[in-house]
Amino acid sequence: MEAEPAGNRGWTRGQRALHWWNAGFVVAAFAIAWWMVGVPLSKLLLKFILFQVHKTLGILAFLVVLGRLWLRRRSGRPEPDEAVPPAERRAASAAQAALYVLLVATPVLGYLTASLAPLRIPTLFLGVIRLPALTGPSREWFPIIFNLHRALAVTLVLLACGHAAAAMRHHLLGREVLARMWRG
Amino acid sequence: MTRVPSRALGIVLAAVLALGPAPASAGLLDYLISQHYGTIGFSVSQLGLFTVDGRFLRFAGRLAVNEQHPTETRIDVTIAAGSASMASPDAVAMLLSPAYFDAARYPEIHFVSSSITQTGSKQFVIHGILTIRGIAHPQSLEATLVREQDPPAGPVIADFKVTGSLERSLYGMTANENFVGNKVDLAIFIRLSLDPSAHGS
Repeated sequence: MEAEPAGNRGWTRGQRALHWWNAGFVVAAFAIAWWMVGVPLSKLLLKFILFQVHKTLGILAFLVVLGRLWLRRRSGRPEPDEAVPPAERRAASAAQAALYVLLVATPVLGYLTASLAPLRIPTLFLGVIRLPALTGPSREWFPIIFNLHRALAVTLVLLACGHAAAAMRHHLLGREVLARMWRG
Repeated sequence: MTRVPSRALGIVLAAVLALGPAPASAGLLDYLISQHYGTIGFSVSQLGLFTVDGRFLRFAGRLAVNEQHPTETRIDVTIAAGSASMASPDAVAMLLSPAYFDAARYPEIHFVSSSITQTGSKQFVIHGILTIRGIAHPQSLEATLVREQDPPAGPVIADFKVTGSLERSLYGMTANENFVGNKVDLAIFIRLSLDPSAHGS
């Protein structure tokens, strides 16, 4: 990534780009998940393709969040906007930390879900790269990990909605929070 | 080989199939095929990428060796279509649905042999008619005798490995043609035991 520092002015270009890519992958993976689970087995090919797209999006989201964490470690983050009250800043920090945890854990549990699935359906990253299963099939663990994956995904999306609503509120109050992530 | 006539299936089958009618003293030997000892498994390739398999939990049959009329030696097996088992409950539901076995309308899958030929010392080819969903088609299976016991006490048993393949579309199972392969491979392991109540004459 570029060497542009995250000074007091804002997030680096790389941080901003990966933030939005991450958001896009999560929203798309979630929407497709909602669709794919309802597709009947009579449309197996469509269901299979949707699952593969979902898995690819999840893996991309995972890679992106790893990149974001690395950039954050390297470039830090901008100083908080002084216009935001301290209590809101603390709430924002907690929510953002939770988002990072969920952004890492949800795809990991998704990958585990695919590994534990009773039918050995392969995971084809980008439609062509066959990724190994981490475990064998397990009738006992599959529903547990799947439900956990789903619960974390729903929590992640709800939290991200709150995160977006808060950013929009800051923006409407004339604060720089959203603009700094949008255009630097 | 120690007893005459032997009840051991491999010897009996070989003798009957190769030599023709046995002496008049011989008769009908009835071997039972039980779901308790053996599996009837199937597997299908999906998109050529991976394979999904399953098996039938309930089946029963018999091999009736007619020593006097070898051509009437018959294998007859009935499988409960509804006993199909796979790793995923959703897959089982799909398999039993009208698009596949339609198990509610056609509860039984049936195979009856028409002829058996010996192709090796322990290899046999079984030709017969397989009926699925009420549709009958010729089906051949390759059987290999893998183990045989003829203990002084207890029933004669013979373990066979049987393989074969069929095209599911022949039986009207054409759903998901773009995903589920047409060729179904069969992997069968059966144990034949001499029915103590009906053997000999």
